[in-house]
Amino acid sequence: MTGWLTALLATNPHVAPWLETVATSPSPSASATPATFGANVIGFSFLLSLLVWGPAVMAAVTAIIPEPRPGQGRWFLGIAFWTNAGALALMIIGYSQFQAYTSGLQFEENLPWLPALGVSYHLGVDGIGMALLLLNGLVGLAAVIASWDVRDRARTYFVLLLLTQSAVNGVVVARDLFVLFLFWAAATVPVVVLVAGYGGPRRTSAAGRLLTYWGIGSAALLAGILLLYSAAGSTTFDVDSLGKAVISPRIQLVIAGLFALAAVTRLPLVPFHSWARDVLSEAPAGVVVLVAGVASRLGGYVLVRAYAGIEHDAARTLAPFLGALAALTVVYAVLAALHTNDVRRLAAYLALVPGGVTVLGVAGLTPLSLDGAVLFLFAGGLAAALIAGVAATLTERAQARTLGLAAGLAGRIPKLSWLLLVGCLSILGLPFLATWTSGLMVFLGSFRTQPGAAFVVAVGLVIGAAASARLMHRVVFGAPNPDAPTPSDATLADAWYLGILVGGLLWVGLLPGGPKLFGIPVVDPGLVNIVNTSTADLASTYTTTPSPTASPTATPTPSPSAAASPATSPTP
Amino acid sequence: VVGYVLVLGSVRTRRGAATTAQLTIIVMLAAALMFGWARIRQSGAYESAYQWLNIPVAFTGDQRFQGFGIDLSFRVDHAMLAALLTVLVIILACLTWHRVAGRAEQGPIRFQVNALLLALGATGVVVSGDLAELLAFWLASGLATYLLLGHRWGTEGAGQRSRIALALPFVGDVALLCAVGLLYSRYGTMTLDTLLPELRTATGVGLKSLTTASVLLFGAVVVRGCIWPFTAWQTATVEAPAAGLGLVAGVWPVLAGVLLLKTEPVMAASGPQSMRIVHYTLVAAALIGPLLSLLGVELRRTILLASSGALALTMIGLTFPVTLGVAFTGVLAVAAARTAGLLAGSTAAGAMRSVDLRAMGGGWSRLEDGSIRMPLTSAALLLSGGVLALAGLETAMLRPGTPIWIAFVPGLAVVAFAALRPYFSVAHGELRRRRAFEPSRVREAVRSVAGSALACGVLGLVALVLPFFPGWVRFLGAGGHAVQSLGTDVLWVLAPIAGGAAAGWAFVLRKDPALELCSRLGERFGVVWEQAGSLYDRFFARPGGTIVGAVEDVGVPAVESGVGRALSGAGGFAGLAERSLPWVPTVLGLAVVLAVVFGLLTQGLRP
Repeated sequence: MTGWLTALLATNPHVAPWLETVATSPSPSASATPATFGANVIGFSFLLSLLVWGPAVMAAVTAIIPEPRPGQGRWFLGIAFWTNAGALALMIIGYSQFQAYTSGLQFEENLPWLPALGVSYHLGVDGIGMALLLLNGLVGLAAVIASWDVRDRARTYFVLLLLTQSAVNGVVVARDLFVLFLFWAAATVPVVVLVAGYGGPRRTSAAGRLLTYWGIGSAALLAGILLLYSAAGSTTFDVDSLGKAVISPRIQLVIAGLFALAAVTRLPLVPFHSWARDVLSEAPAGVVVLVAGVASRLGGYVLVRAYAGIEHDAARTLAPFLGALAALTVVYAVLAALHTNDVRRLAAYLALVPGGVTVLGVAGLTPLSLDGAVLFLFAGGLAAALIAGVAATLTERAQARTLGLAAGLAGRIPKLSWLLLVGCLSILGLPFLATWTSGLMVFLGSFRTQPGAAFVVAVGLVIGAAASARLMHRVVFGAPNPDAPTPSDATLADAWYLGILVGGLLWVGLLPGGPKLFGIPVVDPGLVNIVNTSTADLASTYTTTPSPTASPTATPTPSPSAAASPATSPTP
Repeated sequence: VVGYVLVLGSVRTRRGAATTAQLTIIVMLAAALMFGWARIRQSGAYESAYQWLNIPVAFTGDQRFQGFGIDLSFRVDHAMLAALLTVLVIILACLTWHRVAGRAEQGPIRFQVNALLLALGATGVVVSGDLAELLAFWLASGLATYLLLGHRWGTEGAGQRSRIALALPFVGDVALLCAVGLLYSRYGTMTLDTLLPELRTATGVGLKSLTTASVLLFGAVVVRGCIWPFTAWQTATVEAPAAGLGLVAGVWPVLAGVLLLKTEPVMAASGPQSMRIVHYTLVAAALIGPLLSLLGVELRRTILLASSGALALTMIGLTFPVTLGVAFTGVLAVAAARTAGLLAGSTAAGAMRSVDLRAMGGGWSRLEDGSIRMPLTSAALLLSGGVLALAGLETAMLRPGTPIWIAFVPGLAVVAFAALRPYFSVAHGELRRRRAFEPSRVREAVRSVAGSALACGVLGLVALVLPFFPGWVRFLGAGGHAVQSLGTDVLWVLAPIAGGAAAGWAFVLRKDPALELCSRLGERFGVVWEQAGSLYDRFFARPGGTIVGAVEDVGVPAVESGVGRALSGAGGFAGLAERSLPWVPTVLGLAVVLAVVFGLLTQGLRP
């Protein structure tokens, strides 16, 4: 083995950096923390590249394979499904092997790409990225299953879907801002084409809006990155290096403002939301799930990674404005939901709410609120995908999309009615769903620093309850419209794709710390545990000055019941 | 949880679902009784805690905020045990009532599932020792309530009910969320055992925060306790299945009382301002709720509003440490009596085929079991509201001349008057012949149906009598004392007696004109309410819609088209440039200019 490696290095020096990366990349190592059962069985040093480029390669394969014979028209769907299933399996393996309570990057890959510019192919994932990767895995699979009925131009459709997922994974794992921007911009094109090519009657307008807003966001992100690169006097685009640069507060404000603009156009927040309203009410269910669930969450990811993670002083300065924007978004979205009669549009407005709550968490800038914000990226993505997806499917199955026509469906399509109910409640933060746990963390954390914004968001949730109640009143509980077309209930594919989203919400909601057997984590190390060390690192800049009675300590305070509890906890 | 999963997952028949649900509640009741037996001689609370979520969120900064945990913390003392038993008896009674009287209802399995979810949530709220855990179970109970009140799917009425049942009480839920958030943001803990001792000692926490938290907590209590002005979510949903409404109306006052009892130290620590708000609100509710119940002749609405006054009166006692035990038992009594009244009233309404008090009557002679039930339940409603408030008044908490003292006398009288009205209207007077209704064919309800209401009524009466025994108040350990000497305080009895006598005169001797007057007043009130609704629509809803429409349909497209025109203009400029300029040198030149500008700019911006 060693001889072979030496020979290869001798004959081809270009391979050396790659192999070095593979050899030196820190594979998950044993730590003092209780290891998950099955951890370290499989070690991947190129896991992230596989996750990023795997869907892209399969998209290329899908694009070039010969036209299937009649009767084999589902090949494209099959390829997309198995690609996503494989990617999800890899993500789950990576997730289970991820060392919780360990700061720093894992599954890291670093190759020089454009040395003159300081651009490197640097991939890595911390707890924050792992949560988003997992979200993309779940939502991606759900999106493919939701596209079960796509038969017209299926090849193009699934190619674009796979490319989108590839780009989304790339944004999440990129540790080089230039590479991150490339993936960020690359995600735009396939989504726009999907909306324009496969949407409803107003698809052209929706695609145009999407392109405009995402284009503005991309431009802002690029400008912010270049300005940061320049102001930092850096020779690299690496996030970690740029994060340590000392930049004047005024420049920081400009950079943070540009990052925030990029984020709020993608997440989106009011007043940059019109693309989401149109896309979520016009695009097919699969695209809706992908956009609402994960593509738009990238805005929140950039907000956490670049805005709060790099521009600390500016983030503090801009926090009240960001909090106000979050409050405005939640209140405006639910007010707009109260005044529309289109089921899909109403659901699209409700799907804006998780974005507002996420941004509230980022604006809070406390350890707990940041932790909650990252968790809410995951939970809110699932919830937004669920509400928008179920509305898309329900209106399709009911052959009606106005509240007057799609009325009183509970008795006739009970599955979709129950799923719509769960979707509405997940937006509001029903206990035992992931949105409750993460939302609670956001609220409790942000009440310390942004009480006004948190209170207004809470008021917005009350109005959101009124909007949800209106939707449920008409569609589920109310009297059916005798003039409406005959509806049909969810197909097996619909039930599965919505079930995946509900399952994700329930799993993290019931077991945020993962299942434990005699105090030892089993199978799942717990999303909260995966996320919290990274966010604690992130938040360390923002922690307030210790009070006279409290001394800084590396040992986190255990829960008050820790002493009395018979259960042991994996507290480090 | 086991029963819930069983009914949800494997039961397919109405009887099977009802039996499993009842069995689940009976097992819970037996377990609670055994637990009570085991703890009867131990004054301390039973406590246990299991970590559900415990994570480090920071490694620097204030130590209180470095960790975050939510515990499954159970804290059961004697008061909570009494509350738990009351909740379980109420739920069992409603399930038993529904098994027979509600057999024609749609979705029988769905009903049992929702009832069990309410049982789960209510039990969780009662035994919670952690505010986050309490909030979770509180919200779960709210979900079950929503589903129970919107139970009859497929009708416009059910849709309306579901809408009110979700949106309005959510105000209280969010108030509770905000209160918990505020307390956590100041103290860094949500476990009551650690939070309450720190209320006055923690540095940097002022009265302002505590007052705000107290008002928010009280908001949750008032909304979910269905105390005026937040009664609409129950009074507007009286068309829901009777057992569902009885469940909701009986369980939530207990939960509201439990929340108030658990967080009473927060209110006590918050200073006089919040107490003043609480007292004025409750006194106003005690007067206005029963008065509103007189406007109209709908049986269940009448019972709900009258009992909301009784609940407000007893809740006042929960704000004084010296009367905690007495008042808490009063809350349990009102809750049981409320359910009893609703179940008995619904039984009578079913037999007489009307919910209009004008069309009812003669229950004393025609419904033998009913003639026992109605006095029992009405008396429970009256006495639990009135006499227990009297027991609270025995203490020195109310000095003559304070607003509470002044308001208490008419409050007691009005509650008594309003609470006895349904009884007198249903039990006495003539039951007239109507179209398609023959009074002689009125049939008695079966025993299990009658027994359900009777059980709740008896529970209410027992809870009413218990505070008069000093040993009970000591056993509760919630604070306060029993009536030791009635003395001149017995004069307070005159107020409810006067109210009851007035009700007897009005609704027995002059039943028809009195009820006709109530009906007319109710109609007038309905007209005023509709006008208020139209005003709201005119000044709030429609302008809101117009603003949203203007922004969404006009403003956003206008801005976007402006941007589009600008881009088109730029495109046109580019086209012009392409036609008239040699493009390769131009692009190169522009690139050079941009690079120079960028370089100069960044140099200039560099710190």
